[in-house]
Amino acid sequence: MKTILRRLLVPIASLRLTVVCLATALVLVLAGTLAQVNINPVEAQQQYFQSWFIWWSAGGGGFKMPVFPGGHFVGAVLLFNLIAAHIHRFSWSWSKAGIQLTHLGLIVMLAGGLATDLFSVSSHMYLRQGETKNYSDDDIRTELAVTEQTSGATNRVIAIPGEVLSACGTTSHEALPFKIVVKGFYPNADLQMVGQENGPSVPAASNGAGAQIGIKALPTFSEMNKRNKTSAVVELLSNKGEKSLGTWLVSVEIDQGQDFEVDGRHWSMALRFARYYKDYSLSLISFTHETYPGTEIAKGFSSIITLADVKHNENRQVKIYMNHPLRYLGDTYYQSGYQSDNSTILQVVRNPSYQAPYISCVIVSLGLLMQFTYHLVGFARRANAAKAL
Amino acid sequence: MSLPARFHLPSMKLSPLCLSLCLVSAIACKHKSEIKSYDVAKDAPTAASETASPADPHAGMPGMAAGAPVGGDPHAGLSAEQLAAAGAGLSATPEFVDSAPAHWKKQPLSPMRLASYHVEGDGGAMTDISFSILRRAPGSTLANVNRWRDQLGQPPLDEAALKTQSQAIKSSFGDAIAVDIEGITPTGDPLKDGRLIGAIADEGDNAWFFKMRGNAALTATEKANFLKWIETVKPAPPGTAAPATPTAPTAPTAPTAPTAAAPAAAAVAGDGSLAWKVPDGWVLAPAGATRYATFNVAGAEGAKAELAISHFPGDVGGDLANVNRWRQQIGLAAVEAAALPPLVTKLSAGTVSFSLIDATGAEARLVAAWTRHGADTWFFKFSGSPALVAAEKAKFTAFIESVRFTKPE
Repeated sequence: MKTILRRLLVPIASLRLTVVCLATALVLVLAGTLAQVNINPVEAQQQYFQSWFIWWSAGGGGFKMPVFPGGHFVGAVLLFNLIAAHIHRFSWSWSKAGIQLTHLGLIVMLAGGLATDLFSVSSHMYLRQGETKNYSDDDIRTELAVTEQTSGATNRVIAIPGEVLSACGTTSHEALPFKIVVKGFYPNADLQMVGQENGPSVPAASNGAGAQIGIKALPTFSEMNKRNKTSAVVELLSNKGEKSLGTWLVSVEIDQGQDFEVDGRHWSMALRFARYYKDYSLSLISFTHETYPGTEIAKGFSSIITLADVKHNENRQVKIYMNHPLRYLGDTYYQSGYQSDNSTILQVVRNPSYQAPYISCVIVSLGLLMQFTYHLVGFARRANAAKAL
Repeated sequence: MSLPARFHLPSMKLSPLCLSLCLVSAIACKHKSEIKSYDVAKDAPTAASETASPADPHAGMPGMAAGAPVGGDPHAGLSAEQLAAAGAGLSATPEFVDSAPAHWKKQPLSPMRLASYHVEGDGGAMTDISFSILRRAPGSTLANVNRWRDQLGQPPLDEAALKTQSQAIKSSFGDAIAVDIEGITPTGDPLKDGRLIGAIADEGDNAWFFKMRGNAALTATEKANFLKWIETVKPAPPGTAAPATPTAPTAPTAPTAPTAAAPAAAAVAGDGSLAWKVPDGWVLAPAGATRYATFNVAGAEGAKAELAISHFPGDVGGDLANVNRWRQQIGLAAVEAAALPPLVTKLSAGTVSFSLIDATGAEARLVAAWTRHGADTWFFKFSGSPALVAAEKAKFTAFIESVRFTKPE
């Protein structure tokens, strides 16, 4: 058994494989960077680095084939290679303890990078002065929020991810007395009032705002400073006999929920950027933007916010500014930007493995220190022995 | 005693491998697109949401400013110290006194609001009144007026236009200018929006904002009370607690009267563009995002009908497209252009001529009237259970005949 394991480990632990992986990673980074000329950085990140393979599609058709390993593949092979080398050459002697520790640090760093990719969530919280929020918005992902307007203190929300809508299928949920059939999904679209000059002549839907608005599909933007107007046309089918209740146009451009009634229950529907709700709230007390005297060059900006958390008995003011984020219950709030009405933009990062790079650096530093000290002591001993002779 | 120079821990060899296998296998579970269901507290209005227009949260990309800060925007930075000094800290204890009309309903204060009231009118109409203080910046008055205009979908003014469209008033914080802005965005709720009367007083580094925004007719009615109230707002004398119960009651005045051409018993809704006589039993309901007004009619055995009033620029695709859309909504087939004229009848309301169509589907009947006024086409779509619509059709016809446009084309 040991022999079989060793035979398996030898090629995986190969130093050549390490070099190939590093060279592949170099090419991948170059290709992923150049790709951002034509596609936006988020798409490039997904296609080149957050994928097993880079796919090539022949003529834009359905056929796709992998043409190069993606970031996940290279990272995973490198991680296995490093671990295999660690196991294959593992012999815990003081002479190699520093090297082993350094390798362990690298493994923690690679594993931490993978965990960050898998589990971290980045979003933004937009706050005007005096405004209080207990949720942040995703920058890319959308969701169809179907809200039941109740007479109680809370409303029930059923949030259907944009990824589900984009499949253009039928969605049902136990809390909904109707099914949602996606008749069309538009990653980016142009919405215009029907009847406008050079505008559409056919409304996109039979109910709600869409009864007066036409829709035209547009290619998605590659520029990061432009926002895609993600939209969809959905039809509601009553659970009772699958009777059509009409069609609605939902879009991130239509910021108000569209009301409708089904079986005497009041509902509202809106396509919005996916929300991440918190158990606490933030209120913006003030936002300050400073420029260098006589210029419009930003010197710094900061937000004074109130953090309120009834559950944990927190109610305090916090100043968030460059390199001074707020860390609370696993969320980190960075001062990210501001809007023209001087409302603040906070980047909200939830990364369970954010400490991995720090731990990795400490382990690698310790390993190198141990290795250097071991050799230094050996050298000193030999030097002393030579003197004694 | 010294440790052996070399030792083995075989069991430790496999643990990193297991860890990595777990991590890599987790990739398959990444970004699961699951439908979530949760409860959220009903949106409690915050100062910003009440005073500012719906911002485009994604107008600017993260990590960069979406645009140069507008000089003097009321959301310009105000330090915590200033807020505390203004009594607008967390406790929101006001250090101002005012004298509001008795029918103004006091609202909870917030870090941004030093005074806050609601006034409620008929049929769910509402207007919102606030007083706040912010740091002043050069050019702030024009920027703030234009921000208010933007909230009502109105184009910005320049300095010269601002002078002609504002009036000078007195306040405890020095001379102020007041503006009266009328308009509504396509998604605005006419019951709660349509007119904004605001005043800005500058004193030293601070700007004092008085704002009333809400249903156009109600806001117009409350204008005199609002301007009087501005004069009563002043810093509390040292040692004074929170303001006393509102005093100096002022009787609410009647809603804005329709134009002389309108029927005597007419009522107004929306931004006051229309006047009409509401039939008995018809109930004004919240208008919704794209409607000017909505009326609900209830019949026997749960039968329901609804009148939806809306207006849009242009002819909205033309009569044929509109009629066919309505027909399809009640399960009828579309008609050809040649078949349309016999289906459309004419109805006069004063000097205005309406086109009328009546169509009955298997489960619903629809009577719709429309007319062109200025650049817009106005639609009055009455639909619901066939029996109820038939019973109410005479009232609908009378309603259309009572409709008057209060503003010139």
